[in-house]
Amino acid sequence: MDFRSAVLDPSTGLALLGIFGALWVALGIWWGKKAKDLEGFLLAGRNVGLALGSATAMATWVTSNTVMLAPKFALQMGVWGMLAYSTAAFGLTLFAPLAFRIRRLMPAAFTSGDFVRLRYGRAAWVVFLAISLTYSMAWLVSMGMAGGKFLQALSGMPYLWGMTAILGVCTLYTLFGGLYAVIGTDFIQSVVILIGVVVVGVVVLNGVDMHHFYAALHDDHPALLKTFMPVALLSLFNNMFFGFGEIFHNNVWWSRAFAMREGVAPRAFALSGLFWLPIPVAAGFLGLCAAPLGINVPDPDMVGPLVASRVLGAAGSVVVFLVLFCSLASSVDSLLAATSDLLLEDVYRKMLNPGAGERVLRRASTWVVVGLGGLTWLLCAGDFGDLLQVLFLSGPLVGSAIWPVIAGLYWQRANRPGAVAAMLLGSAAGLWAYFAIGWFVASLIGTAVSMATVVVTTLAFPQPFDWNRLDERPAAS
Amino acid sequence: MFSKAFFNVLIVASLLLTAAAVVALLWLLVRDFLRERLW
Repeated sequence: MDFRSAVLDPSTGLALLGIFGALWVALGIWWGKKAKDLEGFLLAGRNVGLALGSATAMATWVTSNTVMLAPKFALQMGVWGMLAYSTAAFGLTLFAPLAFRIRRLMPAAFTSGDFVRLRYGRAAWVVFLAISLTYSMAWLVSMGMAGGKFLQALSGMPYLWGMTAILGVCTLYTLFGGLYAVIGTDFIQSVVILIGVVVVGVVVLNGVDMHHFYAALHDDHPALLKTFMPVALLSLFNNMFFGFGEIFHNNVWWSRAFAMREGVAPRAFALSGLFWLPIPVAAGFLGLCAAPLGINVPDPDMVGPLVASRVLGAAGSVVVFLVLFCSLASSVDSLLAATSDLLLEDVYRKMLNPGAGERVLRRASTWVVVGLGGLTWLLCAGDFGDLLQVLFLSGPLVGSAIWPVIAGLYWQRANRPGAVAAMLLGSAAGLWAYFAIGWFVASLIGTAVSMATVVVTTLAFPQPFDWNRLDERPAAS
Repeated sequence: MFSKAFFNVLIVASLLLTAAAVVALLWLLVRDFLRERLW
């Protein structure tokens, strides 16, 4: 099938990009006026309510990877592929109690780096920042590339143009509005994503005869319906642990815990996990439709948009375009903001210029956001190929950070050398597994080695920790 | 092998839950707005 026969013409794609891009930037400028000081810009005044809090957590976790890779998982691993992707929702839900404790122990903190620095000291902080920044860049680059690819596939726009437009729009409104703009636009984007997924799913469901659909899968592609599929089962646990690692360590989620009003964060994260859970199955269903509908899939990354365009025609392409654009924007803006916070607070303020005042920091934050957007563009312009590889290469790194974070928050005797060793050994073992065995076990092995290291070192060399040291407010010190 | 019934329920339930999430989010938005607790 020539999928270009059913997709948007370039002028419609450009018009949609222009309209929604202008809308996000205008809203970013408008909401940005609420940011009266640096804390307002970085953490939206620490007063975000349940509706915006739940939506921003959910929308950030619905990346273009969710919409594009869930159908790819389904195409390659069948029902288990969709279910495997869904397990990433547990990371959001399980972050709820952590968010409660983070907010209580560190009411004045800005970043996840603050926690590691205060809890485990400088060496662990540096290792943690290296892991976190590597992962954040991998995530940003994978989404920038996805943006360029999908615009190219849907509207024929050159890869470089589409990728530049998406990164440019997100950088602009993050720059003007900080976390206010990110959280505000995330709400609208999350509603668009959810409605789009339902509309496409319902129309596809109406367009196929489920009896013949199942029979076609059963007869021609039985592997996709297998209940026992070792690779898919391994990928399920791998995905789950990757999700835990991503959420537990990354400043994207910590900054939201700091930004939400007291008592809101646990409920917001629990709800966002619930909202996110069905999306990979609803989107993944499209991947399973490819074979029974006789759609040729030249690029598995594009199977979701291909099926939607084929079944819904031009209207479907518009819906898919909007869903993917919102999925990308809601994650790129969050990553830009949270990673900029990490660079500004941990690298610039704490390492390079400890005496910097509010005005200097506000100006530096502008340069950090612009610089990060520019660096992401440069890496995306190189087009590294397979999306899954880019994303999962950072899996073992974040997996190795799960246990140092959990133990650091709840286990008073967890010690500094143990945390450093857990992150280094877990990352090394996970990377070895990635290349020696495969991506589907890398996070699993990285997490297991990290866990064993934390447990053994804590039991062998316990170091009691005073929780009050996590609160940096002047009155508390 | 996953049964036809399981497969159908899985797909339909995922779409219903996604639709429910939209309703819940909009309801929370209105509630927070009326209580002046959006931000």
